[in-house]
Amino acid sequence: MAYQTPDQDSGSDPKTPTRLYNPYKDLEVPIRNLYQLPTSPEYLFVEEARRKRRSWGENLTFYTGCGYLSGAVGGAASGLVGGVKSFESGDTAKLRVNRVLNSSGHAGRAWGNRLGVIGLLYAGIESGIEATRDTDDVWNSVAAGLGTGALYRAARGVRSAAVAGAVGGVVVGVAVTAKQALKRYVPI
Amino acid sequence: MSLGILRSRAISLASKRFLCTNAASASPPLPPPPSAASPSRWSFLKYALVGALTGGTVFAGYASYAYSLDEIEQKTRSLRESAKYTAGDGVTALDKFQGLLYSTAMTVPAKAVELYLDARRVIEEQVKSYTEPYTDKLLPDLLPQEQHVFTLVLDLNETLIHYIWTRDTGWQTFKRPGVDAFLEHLAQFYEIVVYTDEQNMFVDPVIERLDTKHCIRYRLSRPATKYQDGKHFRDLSKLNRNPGKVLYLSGHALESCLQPENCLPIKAWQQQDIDDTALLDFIPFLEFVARSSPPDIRPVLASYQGCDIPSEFIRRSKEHQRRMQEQKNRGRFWK
Repeated sequence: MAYQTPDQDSGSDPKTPTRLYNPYKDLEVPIRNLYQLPTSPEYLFVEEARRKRRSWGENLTFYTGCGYLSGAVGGAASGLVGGVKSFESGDTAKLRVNRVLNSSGHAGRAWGNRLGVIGLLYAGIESGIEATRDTDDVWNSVAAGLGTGALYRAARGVRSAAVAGAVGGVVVGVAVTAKQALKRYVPI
Repeated sequence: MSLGILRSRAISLASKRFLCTNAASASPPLPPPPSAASPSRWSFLKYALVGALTGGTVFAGYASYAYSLDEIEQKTRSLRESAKYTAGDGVTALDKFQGLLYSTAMTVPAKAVELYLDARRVIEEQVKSYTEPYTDKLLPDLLPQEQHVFTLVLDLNETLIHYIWTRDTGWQTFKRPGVDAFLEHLAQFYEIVVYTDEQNMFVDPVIERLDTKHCIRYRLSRPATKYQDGKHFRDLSKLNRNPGKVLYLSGHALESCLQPENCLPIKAWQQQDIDDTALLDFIPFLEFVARSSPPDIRPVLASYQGCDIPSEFIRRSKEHQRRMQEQKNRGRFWK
């Protein structure tokens, strides 16, 4: 054969925990080939193994998109309710439809922009904190929430920024705790 | 005399026509005939044409579904031959006229059938360039000193690797436990070929990472497969190898190969099965096959049909050793 290589143990990653395995153990032959088998799934591509979570760009897109979409939908719903409440007795059907559409569009757009900006700030701050600390845990998220709230209300004064930061930190802490509890107690 | 008679007759006809023309012009113009008949005639012709086209289309569709190209060509040979009429000697004028009339009437269906056959042949050749392997010789010829070497054809997904996509981490590709040792050990005995139904742009980087010691000689991907009934099948007859010396190892061997007598079914692997040892368990059997080198592997695999090949091989080896031991004991008792 073209590849007359001596048979030896496969050169696996030394950090990977392995166990020895002998496929000939049931055969009474003098051949003794012990192979090292990994005890955890072995990645083919090193960059896939190194990647544990979404990249900062994906995170930015994800949080901004989710924020804008949820804000737009919620705002449109509240605008719909407000539009229905503001009906007058002499309105025609066309006027009522126009009132509902105006109210929904305006409120949806306003709330969508607001939550989109909050998502953008949160994702950016969290990615920055993670890059700075080089670790990934709950405190990154809480600090990101606090920073987001403070930055969002910074133009309105120091007191308003402090209150918003506290609210942001508490909300994110509750969200992360709820997510971990959900992941632990709800089988998915 | 006859010419004179003909000439006078022509003169009389011409004068009669002239007189009729004069009479028509002299009399007052008649009202135009009622136009109710014209739309009905055109409407009838239009409906007849549409009906003929619809019938032809429906018949062509049914013929495409029910018959293959050669069958239609064979069935319609007599029809297409009847359109070419050659008058033989000794045929009367009446028979000649009838034959000519028949061939003229049959020209339109014959031309339609030939047009359909040409169009279908062109379309089928176009489709075949996608569904058939790109060549009848997927591998180059074996070297003369390697004519006895077996060819081990390996699948890729759920046999050597497994890849998944999750929303958290995207694409992840995992190696089956023992795949490095498997390839390295069996490259000493076999010509290893990877034959998969994935695309080239997926196969090339995977094998570059998987096969760092260049144990895999050739890699065949989706253009080399045969697309049939909505699936991509491996056609081992196109490998340019002795079919008695080809082994196909796959997690879905029997349902992804056109030659099931050459298949070695192995358990399909996914990344959560971290205690899997199926690849390494195949090493004793494959090494034994390579060392004993049977002239045709297909009856050997037929004897293992339906069994788990590694454990069945171990059981047969133990039984063989026990029988050899009994023979040795019987010899000693006889002495």
